[in-house]
Amino acid sequence: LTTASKNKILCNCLNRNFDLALKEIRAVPTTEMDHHLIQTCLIRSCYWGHIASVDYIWYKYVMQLHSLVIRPELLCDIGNLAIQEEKYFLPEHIYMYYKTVYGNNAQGLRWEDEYKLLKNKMEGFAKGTMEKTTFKEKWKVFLEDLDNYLPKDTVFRVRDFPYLTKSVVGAADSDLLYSILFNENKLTIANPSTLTLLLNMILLQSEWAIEFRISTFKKFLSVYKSLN
Amino acid sequence: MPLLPPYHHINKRLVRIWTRFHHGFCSSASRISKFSSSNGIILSSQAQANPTRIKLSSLLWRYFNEPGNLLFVTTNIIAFMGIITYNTLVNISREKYIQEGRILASLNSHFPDNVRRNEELPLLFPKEEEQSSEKDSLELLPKIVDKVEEENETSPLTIYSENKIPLVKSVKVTSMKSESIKLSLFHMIYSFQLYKSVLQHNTKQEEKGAASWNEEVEAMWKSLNMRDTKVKYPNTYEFYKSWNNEFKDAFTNPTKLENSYLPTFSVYPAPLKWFCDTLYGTDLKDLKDFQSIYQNTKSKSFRNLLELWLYDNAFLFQRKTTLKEDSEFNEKLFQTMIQDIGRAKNTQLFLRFSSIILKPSNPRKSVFFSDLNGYNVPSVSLETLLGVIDGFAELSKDGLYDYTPDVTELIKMLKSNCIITNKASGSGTGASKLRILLPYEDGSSSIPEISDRVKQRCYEILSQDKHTMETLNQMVTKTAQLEGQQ
Amino acid sequence: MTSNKNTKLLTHLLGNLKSTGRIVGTTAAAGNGLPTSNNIKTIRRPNYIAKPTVLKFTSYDPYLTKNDFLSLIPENVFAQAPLTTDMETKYDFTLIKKRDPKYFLFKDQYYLKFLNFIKLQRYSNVTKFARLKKVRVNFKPLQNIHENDLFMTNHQFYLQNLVAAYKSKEAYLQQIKGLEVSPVELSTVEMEEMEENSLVVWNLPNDMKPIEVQNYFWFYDIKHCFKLYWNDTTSLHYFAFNNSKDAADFKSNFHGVNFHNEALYKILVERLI
Repeated sequence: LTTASKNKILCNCLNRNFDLALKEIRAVPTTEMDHHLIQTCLIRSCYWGHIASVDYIWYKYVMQLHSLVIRPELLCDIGNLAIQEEKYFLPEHIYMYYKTVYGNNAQGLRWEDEYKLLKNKMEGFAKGTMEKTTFKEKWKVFLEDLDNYLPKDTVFRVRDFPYLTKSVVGAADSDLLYSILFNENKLTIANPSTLTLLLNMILLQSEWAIEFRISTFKKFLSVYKSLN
Repeated sequence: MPLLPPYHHINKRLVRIWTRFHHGFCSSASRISKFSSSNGIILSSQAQANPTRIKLSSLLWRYFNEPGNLLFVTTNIIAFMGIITYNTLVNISREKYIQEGRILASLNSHFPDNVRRNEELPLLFPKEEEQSSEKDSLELLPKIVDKVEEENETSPLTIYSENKIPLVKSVKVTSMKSESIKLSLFHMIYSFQLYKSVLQHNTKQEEKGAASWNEEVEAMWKSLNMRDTKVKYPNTYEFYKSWNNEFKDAFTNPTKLENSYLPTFSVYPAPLKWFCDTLYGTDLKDLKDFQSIYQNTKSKSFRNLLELWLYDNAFLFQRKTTLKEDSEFNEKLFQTMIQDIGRAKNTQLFLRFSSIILKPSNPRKSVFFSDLNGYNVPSVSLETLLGVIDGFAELSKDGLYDYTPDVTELIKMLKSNCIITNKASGSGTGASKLRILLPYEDGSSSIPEISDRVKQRCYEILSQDKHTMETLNQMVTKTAQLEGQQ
Repeated sequence: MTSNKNTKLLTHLLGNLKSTGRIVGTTAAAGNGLPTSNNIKTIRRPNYIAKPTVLKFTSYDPYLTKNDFLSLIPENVFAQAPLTTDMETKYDFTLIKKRDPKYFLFKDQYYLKFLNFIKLQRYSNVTKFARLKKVRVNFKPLQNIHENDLFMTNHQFYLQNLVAAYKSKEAYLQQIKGLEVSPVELSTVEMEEMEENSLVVWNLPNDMKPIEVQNYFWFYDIKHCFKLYWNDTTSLHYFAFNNSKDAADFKSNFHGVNFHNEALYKILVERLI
């Protein structure tokens, strides 16, 4: 990998010619690749949303070779881009990477970062299996991975979970959600904001009758009056 | 901002809102048709008549007609959402107002007079405000556009040229784990060399390096008040204990790892220099690489340190290997180490390594020994086991400690856990097919059942193996001797 | 030497290694950190600042923080705990990201502004051989008067424009036109707050009015937004939020997302902190 070819790749990346840059990157054997170059390319291609480069660099240089250290903020962006571009395995791998790399160090993990990455994982699953799994299954995953795992002061906002909200369909689910909200559940809900999240998801379902939603809201207020 | 405000606010407001909504909803329903073409923008002149109600209904209308929200899910937000959101908006605007007030207060005295004054009005519904100012500001826009087209530099999209990119020296891509292992090993040997040089400073034994190294040793020597202490030899075991204590986790932080690097070793004294030369050349991905470093290290103390280090860090080389050659190699390494350690009479270390076989709870088994023997439990070859027994025999020659219990344990293992593998390891002797299963503590049962027939077969092979019989005889005579002495 | 003395020696030696982080070959020569070799020319020349207080650092990575630069100091290499205030006073500097004054975008450069020349020299010396993300660092002191002035004015422009943009679109447009404005004195904290509450967003459709955009993202507490730039293929919006959490969440949730599911409008978000 000569300086000239290195600069050429870098230039293409910086000038947003990602298709060209990716072709050139693929041509470089991994034993020859420069650390700084590949890191810059990853950051830039994520910034400009070029999923093909991100995907390639991620799987080759991060998953396979374990050679790059990526900040949590960048991990979050990559995950988000991946969900949009239908690379539904990425968010899960990203989360695994995060835990492996930052998990050994007590200072390495921050709950805010972990929440965002788990959220991406959840959304990736929700969008990726939109038709293949029921809302119930998705909700179960949510409870296990997020609700019961993250600290109780994490606030779940419905704006963070668009695809989970979208996976609610039809009348059957309305009964389900209603029962989760008000009846005893087998899986206990640990986080207070989860209930609010569920309520908001109900309220946002435009297909459902207004009366139902209003009455649900009223009931919620009366039942959970004690909740601060 | 949470979609639902805190509950203690809701009850008070909701009552108010319910009544307002009730009125507003009915009146806005009739206005719906009028607004249908306005795309949500309120142009009604009735805005001034009844501000609060109109604002509420305008809001509701806006939410009726919302083209999208929440990530382009095509849902229309219902009037009910409007109620809730009205609440939150009141809060938003209140906060906005406070914040605006704060910033305005600080800016007021500084901004020139020709800045529009209407921005200072309380912005309860900034969107409406903005519309009126929007028209005026449109006049400004064409000028900006012209400017953009004229000068290329004003485009936010930077164009980079190849010759302006700063030159940076290439650093090859390596795996984080191997980097961390290399740094750890380097640092251990480096600090040991430093320790040794400081101890032996100003004596004939001192291993000198170039000027910068010697200066460092001199400075360290002075600061540690070494003048009075008599020269002694460095204690590898003590050193390792202290070093491990301080620097065990020093190379695990990933962000710090990216800033660390292996320095140029030209100024170091010879032993350290040679070690670095070997170390830097390998990739250190698996035990093979480690072994090549180990073999190439001539200094006895360095080797000792490597052995100590490996025992504590064996887990780093844990790999699910399906290659027979790899697993054989790993076991060979174990044999070599046991031999070296035994010969060097490193009792402590020998006990540690032998416990890999003896102790069921020692997890390092899976690093050195494979479980591809049909029983899914790690196993050792006869050669390895005998090697360990021999090692114990060597140690007991000093007469300091009685290792009979350990040896007995090993022989017991030989008796009860031997199996025959189908995988012949090259040479044709029956003994090479023998393997001994190691008790493995992982929650499940320790040893699977071995049929008597297999055991019988094993004993046959054992009785024919010369080395085994010799070792066992030795053990028997030794035990007799000890008993005789007592 | 008795075992006791040996252990004591070892503890001292290793402790020393740990606290100073000094390794021959990676760090400057033994000393107390004060400049022994002067890599900064203090000759008196016209257009030359003999005692610069700003270091320039080129990097394509927009995520570097002050901690990254502090971690280059040898004493911090093995430090477990977060960097102490002692460190702060010894190497007192502010980290400034170079941003385009008009469009607020990151311009691949960092400036370390030191309190005085001595601190700059001290830092420069201890990090002479340091590596940041595997690349050997190259800090350039701003010694050319023109360069230094340019840095200062650009930074001021950026700050003024940001303050104006955060206030309103009109204020920003006025500011851009180059109207005579007396410098606004906002504290660093207030400036940081403004930066935290701002975003620049690429690729929203050109034909959407700011109000529509704002309404579209009604879930987020957007103060206001407006277009900074547009052409046939792309557009750049400025978003002002009322709190930093919403700004951060907006980025986390929308970067890389296709607006209205159209690939043509892929939202790309950059934060200003």
